[in-house]
Amino acid sequence: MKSDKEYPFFRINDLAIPVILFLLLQSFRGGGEETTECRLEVHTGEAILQYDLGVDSIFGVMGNLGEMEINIENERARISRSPCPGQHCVRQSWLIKPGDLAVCIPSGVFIVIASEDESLSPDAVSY
Amino acid sequence: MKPVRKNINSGFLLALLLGGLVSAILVRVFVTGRDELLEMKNRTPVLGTFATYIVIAERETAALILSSMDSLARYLDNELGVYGNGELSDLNMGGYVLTHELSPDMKYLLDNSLFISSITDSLFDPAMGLLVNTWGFPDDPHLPDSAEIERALARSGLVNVRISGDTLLLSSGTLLDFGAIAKGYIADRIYSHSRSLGARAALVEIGGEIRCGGDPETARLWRLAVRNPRGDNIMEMIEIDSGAVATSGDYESYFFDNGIRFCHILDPRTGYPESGVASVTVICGNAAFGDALATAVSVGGIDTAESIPDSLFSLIIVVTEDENGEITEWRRGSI
Repeated sequence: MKSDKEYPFFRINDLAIPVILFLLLQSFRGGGEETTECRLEVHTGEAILQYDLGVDSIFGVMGNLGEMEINIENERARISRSPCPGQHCVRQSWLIKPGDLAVCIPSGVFIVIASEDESLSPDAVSY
Repeated sequence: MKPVRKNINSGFLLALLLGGLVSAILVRVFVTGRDELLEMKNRTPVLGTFATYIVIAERETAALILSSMDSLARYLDNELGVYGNGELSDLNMGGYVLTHELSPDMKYLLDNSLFISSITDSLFDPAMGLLVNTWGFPDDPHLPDSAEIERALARSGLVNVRISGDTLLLSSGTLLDFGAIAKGYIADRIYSHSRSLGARAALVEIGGEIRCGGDPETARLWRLAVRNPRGDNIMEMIEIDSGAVATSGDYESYFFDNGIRFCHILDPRTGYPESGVASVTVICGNAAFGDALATAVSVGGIDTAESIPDSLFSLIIVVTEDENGEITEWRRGSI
């Protein structure tokens, strides 16, 4: 009865309702353990093609100079063949995490690992 | 029992108020806010490289602004680029232009190229087109013989650009090439254009030169990455609300001859590619200056980076590589 007199309009237990509301909202927003799904984006200039990094594959993409070959293996990706003169893009090693990219300027193609969680990906890359 | 019932009612009232407040914010953020402002992004090839445009604007205008940004990029590419057939092409082919006929864009590039040249001991030079062609960058890079380089060097450089009366004259064979400042300048121009069209915030990236900013109310913090010059990953991740980031690196276009690496960044003093600097990143207020300063520092190295006035940049990062392949990172300033 003492507490009723000291807090006639508010009791600490009354916070339970908003706390429960907050927790419910969090659970609706996908609380719990977070996982980050990554994908490979291939920018050809005319289109942005997306590939599942979880599926090993080798595929061709047409660039300005002809067909390039891109390899996805063990959730990594790289340009494995290109008709460009410098071959810099081919000499690069595997792209493994969000933001990693390989650029072939003569071919007009770049590949980048993008994350489903956009907050992990940069808005732009200075190179 | 009366006081207890009162407490239950007040608690319920408080919860209701809090719930209402939360709901109002959620509605504002997830429904109303999205209706008012929209963030849109576009990636497209331009200027022989790629461009990224991001705008935050009213839903009805965002797509139009993006489209207008792309149109302006293509127009400026044609006017100011070495592969266009606009103003720069006319000047290079004709060898002269009346100064009052210079467009504001060309005048800006000329004036600021001269300025950057003056503060970098002429290590930034926009009159290197003949030398660039002699080396075959970017389409057919190869090692020319030394006599070819000497001949091209003699007809290159700002010493071959002069003003006589009301006419800007190029020496015979001299070619202007704003490749080391134009991408940054065009990024600045497109950024300003988007803002003038009503973009509340915008980012423009052309070939790695970035300009971004926005109204404080949008609270858009731009997450920008700097590429590792000797890897395929990110060297640095920065977050800024406005400004420019420009990088110049020897990895962008290069070839090997007898095991020696030759990159596309030419030293105006020798006519040969710079060596020893893998990349330079400049973070500053506008991308044109960042672009030009990054090129000058690529040629002059840390000595040049140390001589640049503080007022022109926030941070300079120089990555050097010695003859044993050892990489060293050097910084001046902060963000």
